[in-house]
This record gives sequence, structure tokens and C-alpha cells, in this order.
Amino acid sequence: MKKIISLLLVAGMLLAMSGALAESELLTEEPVTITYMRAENSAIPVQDDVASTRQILERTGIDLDITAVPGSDYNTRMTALYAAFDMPDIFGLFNMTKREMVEDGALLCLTDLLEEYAPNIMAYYEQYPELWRTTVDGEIYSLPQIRVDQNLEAGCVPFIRVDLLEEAGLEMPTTWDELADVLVTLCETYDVGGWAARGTGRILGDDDYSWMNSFGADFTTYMDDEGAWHLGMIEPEYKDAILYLKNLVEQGALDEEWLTTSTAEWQEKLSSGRFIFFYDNPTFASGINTALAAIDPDARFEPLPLLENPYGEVRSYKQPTNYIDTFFVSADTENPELLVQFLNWCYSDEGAITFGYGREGETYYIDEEGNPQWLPEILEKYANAEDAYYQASSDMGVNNGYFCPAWMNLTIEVFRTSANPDEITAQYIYDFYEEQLNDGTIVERPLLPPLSSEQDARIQEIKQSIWDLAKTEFAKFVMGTRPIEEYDAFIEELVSLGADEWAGILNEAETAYQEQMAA
Amino acid sequence: MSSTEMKIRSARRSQLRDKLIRGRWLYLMALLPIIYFLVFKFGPIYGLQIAFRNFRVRRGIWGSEWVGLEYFQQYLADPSFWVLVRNTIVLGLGQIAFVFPCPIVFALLLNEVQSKSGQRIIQNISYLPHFISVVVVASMCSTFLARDGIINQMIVAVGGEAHLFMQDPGWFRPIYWLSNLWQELGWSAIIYVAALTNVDEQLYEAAVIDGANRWQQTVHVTLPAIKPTIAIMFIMAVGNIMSVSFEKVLLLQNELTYDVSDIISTFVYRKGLSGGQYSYTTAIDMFSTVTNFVMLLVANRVCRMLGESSLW
Repeated sequence: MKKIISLLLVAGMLLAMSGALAESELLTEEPVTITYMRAENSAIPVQDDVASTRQILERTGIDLDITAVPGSDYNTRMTALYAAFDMPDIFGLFNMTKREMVEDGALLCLTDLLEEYAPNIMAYYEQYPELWRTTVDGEIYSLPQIRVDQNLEAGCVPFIRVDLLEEAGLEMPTTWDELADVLVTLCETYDVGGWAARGTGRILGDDDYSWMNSFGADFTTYMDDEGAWHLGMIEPEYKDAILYLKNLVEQGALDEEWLTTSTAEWQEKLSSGRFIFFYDNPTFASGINTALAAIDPDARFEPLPLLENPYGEVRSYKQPTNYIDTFFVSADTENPELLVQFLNWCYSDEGAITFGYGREGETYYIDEEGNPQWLPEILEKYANAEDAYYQASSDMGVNNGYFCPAWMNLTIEVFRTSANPDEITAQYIYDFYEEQLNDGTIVERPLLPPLSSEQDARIQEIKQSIWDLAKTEFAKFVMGTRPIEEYDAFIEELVSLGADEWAGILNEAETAYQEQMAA
Repeated sequence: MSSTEMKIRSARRSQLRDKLIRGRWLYLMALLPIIYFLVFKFGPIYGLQIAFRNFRVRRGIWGSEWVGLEYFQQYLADPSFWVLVRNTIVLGLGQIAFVFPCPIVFALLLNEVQSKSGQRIIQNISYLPHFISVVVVASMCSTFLARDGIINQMIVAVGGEAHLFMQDPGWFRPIYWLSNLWQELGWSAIIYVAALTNVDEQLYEAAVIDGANRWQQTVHVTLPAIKPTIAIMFIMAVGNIMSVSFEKVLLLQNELTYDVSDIISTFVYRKGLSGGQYSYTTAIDMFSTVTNFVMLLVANRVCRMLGESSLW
């Protein structure tokens, strides 16, 4: 009996100790709710109470309450919440600039808190010193999304209907000029449209990953090889790019409706076989190919090697390894210390595994070598599911569509390939462009230097004067509704509105930043 | 106080109580709209002061610095001011010129339909587009008017050339007005149809005895009978000229049509809700509201001078 009692006592003590251990690992004894608001990708609906949030609660005591707003509505909703100063604890960037939010006193200054409570986060600032470019007056007000595994992404790349190319006996184009000739020939031969595009961003280059950089031009600011900043839209290369597009429109090789085409319409144009070329995110290729195969089993889009531009260069931008300014903390958050401790956990290995795999025992296990692996039943569940990649992400609350400060971007790639072995995966694209990704041909867009209050205000002022105006007028030049002879006069108009001053301010800020870092 | 006065007061109180009890359901029905107006229309008026302040979210409305008319001056000096005002007024006036009379004509035509069931069927069908969301209507416009859309297919079928309607600034306003007309024709006609039911049948009988044909009956009996309703609706339409619905414009516009499609409300949306310039855009909206109010006063005055009905 004594033995039994002593065994029970030992067992009780062990249980108590394990409980105490578990409690000591928690950041808080009582569950604390932290709110987070993000833009929702319609393909990955954000669900409540998923594997990742359950693991977060178990391991930290934090009840992460995520509010997702449809991507198209996110800026408007956030601006309205901001006006009422009813912000969630953590939120993503919206239309207000970081500087504006700092000057409004809306953001929590994280510098001291990170130094005290967040060694994991500060380690990333050591590892990636360019993150200091995101500071405001030397203080940290935003956190990046850190990609903790390999970056396989190669930006936007060209895709062409290889079946038609072969059938017409045409060589694979290697330059942008050759591409124009190939598109014109294929359009005439097969009575199809040429290049299908969606909206201004992909064609005029006002988003980060358009064809423009590969062509040697840029709409927005860029850094040249000597480290000097320029505003692309007023450079001669941009005019060459506009002329190239205008030529394609005139020859019927660029969809005239690129300006008004939505993403869904664009996918339909390509997957119905009516258009034969696109320069966009490779993640769309598989869906387009699957739909296309239903019409013609031989039809298929494949990536093209990067094209040489008129200046003899081969170049392109890829998605960054780390996305800057991804998380902001409201100045009104109730418990800043706890919140920063939680964020520190998010950037730990355990946090990264949670955001990449969900919950141990429910969606993944740790193998003998200490690596996380999907449970067989999870792999089986999504093996033949339609859009398994997105569905798995949504169901388990993992990967980039959820809350994911430390991002294991390859964990759910397995679902993409398991559902359709022919899919054009991130790995497929990486393998295709591997040489150029590793030899510096495809690079990340350089980060802007930190700006002073006056510099930021002036750039905003210039941007407001010229950005929409430039998009409108460049679209007219491409479509031929404004004579190209007026192009130079229009550039002078942009310069008179401060366009050239923009790059000057950035160069000034860059010099100041370099000096500060050297000191 | 004399006993007579007390009796009178007591009688008035009891009359009031009786009235309240008798009309309790009506008062209850009115309660919801009253609350709606108090909460959503009158309550937010205090926030209008941010048009005169440099509104900073952390300082709140009362704590933000008073800047007087600075944002109104900024708006008047904005290079896009006249373009925005011109586009808004043209779109609003076009709405009155081309869209406003159509429900009246439709109601008159409907009144001529002899079969009551036929009248009801036509009326019900004409209401339906009103219940379609603006987003869907704009999407329908884009689809039907696309290069491969049904309209261009018909044009090509009869030997014409496909046209990019959605990217042609010359077509922006007609598309806006026509889609509005299609969507609101039946709904807007309701009030005129209701007014027509109240026309005294004896007037028609007298007109027939005097030898009036259908057209003359319409011109000399029907139209004068619904003229007060038309006048009221006209005054209200004029009072909304500067408040052109921005949703549809926003959904239909693109870079190639900005020259004619950028209106005050899309500018306010872009700068305010998308750009966070709260004070500036409140000033712009206040400017539009005051202009609307002035136009409403003028329209009301003109209608009264012409001897028609007026709002007051």
C-alpha cells in the first residue's frame, strides 16, 4: 500500500512538474486575446479556430483573433478604422504611409521593447541589416515577414503557348524584339490574340513585378548599378517600353482591353485559348493549363527563358526573401510587453513550424531527426482535392494566407504537386530559372532608404501630383488615343510637377543612410 | 391659475393622450426612421468640424488643430477642381435631362395599357433591375460591351466594326445614363403610377365628351394632374446633382476615361477613404453638400414662382 501511495505521490509530483513546466513556457497564465487584421486572399478564406491558432493558444496562452477583410476592401476598411482610431493590436500596411502613422502617434515604437523582449526578432535584424532601412528616425515601428526556408520565387516571368510555337515551326524567342515578331506571326497564323494582361500594374509597370524591369525600364523608382536612384517613368527607357507596347497594340499582338481586364477575365482569355502569351505570376499557369487542356489536350503554356532587352541585358526582379513593413502594432495595444513577447515567439523555430505546419499531433509530427512532417492522414486528405494547396492552407491556417511572421513557404508545396503532378510549382519555376536566380540576373528590388519627415511629405506630394496622371497619359500613349509626338512634352510636364525631384530626395536620403550605417 | 384654465389644460392633456394611444402603431412605425435619422444623419454632423481642423486620429476631433478654411482654399486651388465640378455637373444634369423624364413617359404609357393584369406584369418586370447590385450592373456593362461582348457581336454581325466602348471617353456618359435608366426606370415610375391612380375619372369623361382623343387626354388631363408630383421629384433630383452615385462611376471608369469620369465623389473616395486625407475630403464633401442645398433652394423657388408645387 505504501508503495502504491508513494508511486501515486511521485506520479502526482511529475504531473505537477510537467504542468508547471508547461505553464512556465506560456507567456501568460490566463489566455489573452490579441487581435490581428489582414487582407484576405479569396482563394484562401481565413477560418476561425484552426490548427495553427490552437497550437498558438496551447504554447503561448495567446488567443489570436484574426479578422480578414476581402483584399479589394482592405484599404477602405482600414482607413475607416484608422479614422475612428479603433485599430486591432496587429495589422498590415494600408494606404497610410508609415511616417504618417508614426506622426499621428498611431504606431507603437518597438525598438526598446524588441531589445528587451525579442532576441529572435533582433537576430533577424543582425542577419538582414537592410531591415534597418524600414526604420523611422532610427526607430523600429514595423516588422517584416521573414522567409525562413528557401526563396524559390522568381518574380513574374513570360509564358507562351509552346504547342503553337512548335506547330508554326518558330524558334523560341530570346529577345523582346523576337518576342514581338513571334507574337505577331502567331496572331496572324492562328487568328488569336497575343499578349493578355490584367490592369495597369502588369503593363505600365506601376507594381513591383511587371515585364518592364526585364525590358530595362521602370515606372517607379529604381536603383541603378552605381547605387543611384531614378524615377523610371521619366527615363528614356520607359519611352522605349511605351513604344514597344504601342507597336504591339497596332499589330494586334497585345490585348486592347488590358486596361479593363479583371483577373478572372484574364484567366478566361488565356484558358480558352484566345490569347497565347502572358507575363505574370507563375502561380496562375497551372490553373490556366488545366482549363486549356480540357479544350485541347496538346495546348500548354510554358515559361520562356528570360528575354534580352534592347540594351543587351537580361534582368528581372523576383519576390523578396523577406517582405518588409508587414506587421504594425497599434499604439493603443493593452499590454505591449506581452505582445512583443508573443511576436518574439512567432519568429522562433516553434512559431515558424506552427505557421508552416499547424498543430503537432493534429496536422504534423516531429520525425526522428527533429524535423516536422505532415501526418499521413493530412497528406491523404488533400491528395486529390481540388485546389489542394489553397484548401490546405485555409483549413489549417498555415502559410502566407494566415498570420505568418516567420514563413516556411515550402511546407504546403507538397499539396500543390500531390493534386496535379503536371502543375507548374514554385520548384518547377526555380529549376527553370535556377542559373539566373543564382548568378544575380534575377534579383530583389532594392529597398528605399529611410526618409525624414520633410522628405517623406514632399515625396507624397509629388506622388499625388503625378502618379495617377502618369498612368492615365501613358495608357493613352499605348492605346494611341494621345499622339506619341506629345510624349516628350508630357515628360516635361511631369518634371515640372516635381518628378525629377523625387529621385533627388531618395539619393539624398540614401547618402544619409549610408553615412549613418558606416558610423 | 383659474379652475377654467386648469380644466382646459387637463382636457388638452387628455386629448393628447388619446391621440397618442389612438395612433400608437403609427408612432411606433415612425420610431425606426426617426432613430435612423438621429443616429446616422444628425449624429455625425458634429464630425463635420474636421473640415475646419487638421484632423489627427490620436488627438481626436476636438483635440485636432483648428485651421479654418484652409482645406476649402486648397480644394478651390486644386488643378483638378474645375474638371471634377464639370464632370459631376454634366453627369448630374444629363441624368436630369435624359433619365428623369423617362419614368414619367413610362408611367403614362403604362396608364394606357387597358389590361390590368398586363399592366401589373409589365410593372413588375420593370422593377426587377432595381434590385440588382450596382456591382453586378457595372460588371454586366463591362461584359456586354467588351470587344467580344454581345453588343460588339451584333455590330460585327451587321457588318460594323467592334468598338472598345468601355475605354472610349465619349461613351462613358451614355453608358452611365443608359444603365441607370435600365435599372431605375420601373422603380422611379412607381410614384407617377401611384399619382395617376388618383386622377379623377370624371375629368377623362368630360374630356371625351368635349371630343378629346387619347393624346389630348394625356396632355390636358393626365399630365396636369401629376404635375405637382413631377415638380417635387424634379426639385429633389436637382438637389442631388452634385451627389452623383460614385459606386457605379468608380466601377465603370478606367485610366482612359478619367478625363470625363473623374467626379467629386470618386475624388473624395480616392483621397479620403483610400488616401487618408480626412479633413481635406470632408471639406470637399461639405462644399458639394452646400452646393446641392443651394441648388435645391433655387429649384424650389423656381417651381414655386412657376406656380407648381414646392417642397415648402
